[in-house]
Amino acid sequence: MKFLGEQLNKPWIGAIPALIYLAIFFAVPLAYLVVVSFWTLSPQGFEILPEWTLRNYHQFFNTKVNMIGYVRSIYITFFSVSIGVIFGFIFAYTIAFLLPKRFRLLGLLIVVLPFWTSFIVRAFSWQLFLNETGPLASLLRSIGVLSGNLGVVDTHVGTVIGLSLFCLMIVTVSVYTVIEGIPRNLLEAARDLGGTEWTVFKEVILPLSWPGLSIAIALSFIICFGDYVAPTLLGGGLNLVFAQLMVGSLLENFNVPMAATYAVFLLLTILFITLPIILLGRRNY
Amino acid sequence: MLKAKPIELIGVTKRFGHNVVAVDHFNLSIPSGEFLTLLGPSGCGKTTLLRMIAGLEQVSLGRIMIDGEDVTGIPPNRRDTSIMFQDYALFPHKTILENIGFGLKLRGLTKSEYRKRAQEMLDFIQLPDIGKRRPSQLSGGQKQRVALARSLVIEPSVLLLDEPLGALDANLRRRMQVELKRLQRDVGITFIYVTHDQEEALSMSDRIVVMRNGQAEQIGTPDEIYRAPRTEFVANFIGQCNVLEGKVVEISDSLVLCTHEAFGQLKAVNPKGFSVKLGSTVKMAVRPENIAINDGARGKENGATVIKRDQIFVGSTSRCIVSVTAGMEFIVEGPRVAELANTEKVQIGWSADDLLVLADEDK
Amino acid sequence: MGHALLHLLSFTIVLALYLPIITLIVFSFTAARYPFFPVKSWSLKWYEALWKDQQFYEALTNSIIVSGLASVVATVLGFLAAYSLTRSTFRGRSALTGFMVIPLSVPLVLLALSLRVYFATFQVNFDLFTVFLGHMVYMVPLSILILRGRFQGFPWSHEEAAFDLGAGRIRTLFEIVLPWMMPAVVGSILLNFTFSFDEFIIAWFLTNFEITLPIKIWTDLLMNYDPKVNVIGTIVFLLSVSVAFLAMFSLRKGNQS
Repeated sequence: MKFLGEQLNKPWIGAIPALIYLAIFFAVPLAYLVVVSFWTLSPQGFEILPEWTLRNYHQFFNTKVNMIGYVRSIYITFFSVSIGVIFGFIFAYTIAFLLPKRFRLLGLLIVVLPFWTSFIVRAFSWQLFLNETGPLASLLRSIGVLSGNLGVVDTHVGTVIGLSLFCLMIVTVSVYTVIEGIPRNLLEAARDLGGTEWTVFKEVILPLSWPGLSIAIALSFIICFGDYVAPTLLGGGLNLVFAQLMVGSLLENFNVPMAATYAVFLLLTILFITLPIILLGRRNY
Repeated sequence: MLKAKPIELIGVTKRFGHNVVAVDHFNLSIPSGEFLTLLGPSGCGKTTLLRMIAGLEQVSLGRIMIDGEDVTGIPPNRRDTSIMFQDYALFPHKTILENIGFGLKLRGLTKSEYRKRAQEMLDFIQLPDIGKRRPSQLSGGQKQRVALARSLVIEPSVLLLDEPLGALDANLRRRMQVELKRLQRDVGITFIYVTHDQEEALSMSDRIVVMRNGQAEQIGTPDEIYRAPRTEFVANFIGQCNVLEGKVVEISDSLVLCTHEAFGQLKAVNPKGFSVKLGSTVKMAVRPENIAINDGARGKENGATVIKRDQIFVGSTSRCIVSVTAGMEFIVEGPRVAELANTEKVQIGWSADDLLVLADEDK
Repeated sequence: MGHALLHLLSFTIVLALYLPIITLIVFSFTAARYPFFPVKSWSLKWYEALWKDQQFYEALTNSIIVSGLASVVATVLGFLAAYSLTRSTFRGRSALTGFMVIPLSVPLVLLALSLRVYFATFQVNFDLFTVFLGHMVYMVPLSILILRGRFQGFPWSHEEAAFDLGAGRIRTLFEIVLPWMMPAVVGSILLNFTFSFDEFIIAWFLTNFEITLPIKIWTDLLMNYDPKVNVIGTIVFLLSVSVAFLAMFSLRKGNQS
């Protein structure tokens, strides 16, 4: 029989298969993509040649469509995340504090459930709903609010609606989890010391939920900024966002180094925006 | 000195759901400046009552008056009370100075004003240098004082304390008891203190309310409650008592005479406040420290010869268990009981003044 | 007043979440070629048409194969990794844990793109197997995250007791650890299944001809609008929701025991 110590010695071995898998299929491909952004496209335009160049970056900055697409992605993301945060917080607060205890889980389930289905199906259902022949438009027409077109689908208003609901779900779940864990007597103490419902929210609930909220914001940003499906299905095919430009340069122009360059900027943007948010969100108490 | 205010509880009742009654038609009037303790086992309704006074719990029935003014429907943030929680409920994301200044900030004081007042409060609790720290960096005793400072700085006329010493170790607890009592005298406001610790209640209170099943079992000064527990519940909850049952055979102005199978005739004090019926069976109690042994037992009105069984050392004194009859044991306490050998025959006795007739509990 | 407003806003949110999906389900029963509201005539003809659609069956089969395999394999890898990451105490453990869940914070389109470029370099055939490999990049971290939560509550003294009684590490893993982890394992498999089953962008990048269900929906939508897509959407929605329900039920049951 082995000694106890001998049996306990190498439990880390179990992490190796997953580690190797993620190294081969996640870390290396991503690193390779960054490298490819500095390589050259062959003159025929089908192969990548390992010749170092900065031409992709040059071209990236000199193409006006890129800049427009980038800014468009930023503001779509900004609006989607902001709307998601505001309404997600409202929903989480309502579930946690206004709903009787036995209905809280149900409330959470209601917001999570639609997201366990395909994003395409959901985006498409929004298209049906917001269409000029869909229920919303015909309802508004029948009560006389709307005379012409609704004009939501095929503009990025549709994109923002679709994405903000996604953010709403993320924010609701993470904020709910955090504020559910706030000891109730902290809120009671704040009330007792003279706080109104609003000041208790501002002074206690909001700061204490910031760790969860910051992660939700970062995650929402990543999803919105990198999304390809919602802008394509809801935003129409004309005003392209950054992810669409990236996918287009690979699947339509077969320009791999250029697609890789887009990818680098996508990564950098995510890093620069989300890292400070996450660092700011760390608990300092 | 802050301004203290009297409190009046009139038929205060709290129901949870349909059949749980946490506090049941509770009546009490608390004069200003009193240190009142609500004492009882967990689940007796003491914390619920305190929370209703604070406004954190809605009153199902009855009224709460502070200084003659009905506050029953007024939310906690507009009541002249301040509550201190068992785990202190300090805001983890705020510094100590911000914690103490929080109530003042909500009252519209500017940042420099409330910080100055909070610092004065820190000086007052003799922790002047911890203002910049956060609650997680404080010891239990420090947190306790900060919570106290946070409650006092808004100058409430009533301070409500929910087992504020419960989380401290025994030593610190005793020190804080003395400090709290002194503080209450200094600031002069009404304290309503909730605890399940009888020692705490006895050492600090002006008056104690022993609670059971949402009702007051007995209300009185610590001395009254200790020396004259009204029921078996109170007798056993406050200190330890030997309880015995006897049949009433004679009643005079000052004494009740009972018969008991082991002790023969027992003479007890005729209780005030309720009457004893001739021929009925009553319960009586005697404190272990009021029982004398051997020579000391001579000449006492009540007594018997018993056998010593076991002994427990409790610091300043000793206790021993004696068997009166086969099925009946008594606890006797005194400095000399340690000298007795096990299985030795002992004469015990106590005077009629120390034998109390207890009221029936189910009435 | 304020509370009434909060209730009203929350109710609006619920409407916004469900009205589109209800619209989708309603439209799957319409007779018209193009969705038009209010619906004039009802029919099951698109359900019938889907019944005969060979491509739908192929896509469905492909999706089930990939999702089923990937969710099991990812959970096995995730189980071993989560066990190691909670059990052992080597230096850099938290950094390693961090690395292993990073793929969850990278946009799927980036994972898809990098793998496509990477595989193309090695002239790999893009088929269901590459989709499987791609999905696993997201699913292994997801299983680690789910399983780690339950491992953190595992009473390690039980494991030590088993060692003490003479059981080896592998035997202990199967007889002591696994039964306790079962709800989370089932939950992990089911949640991973719904992820893979619904995932579009990685699958779209990593297969050429063997398409999965989301790709079928996508092409039906964009290339040639086919009303059958409402029916597929309805079916996918109901299927995903029931699997997710099972998963959450299993995870919750585990947390209660």
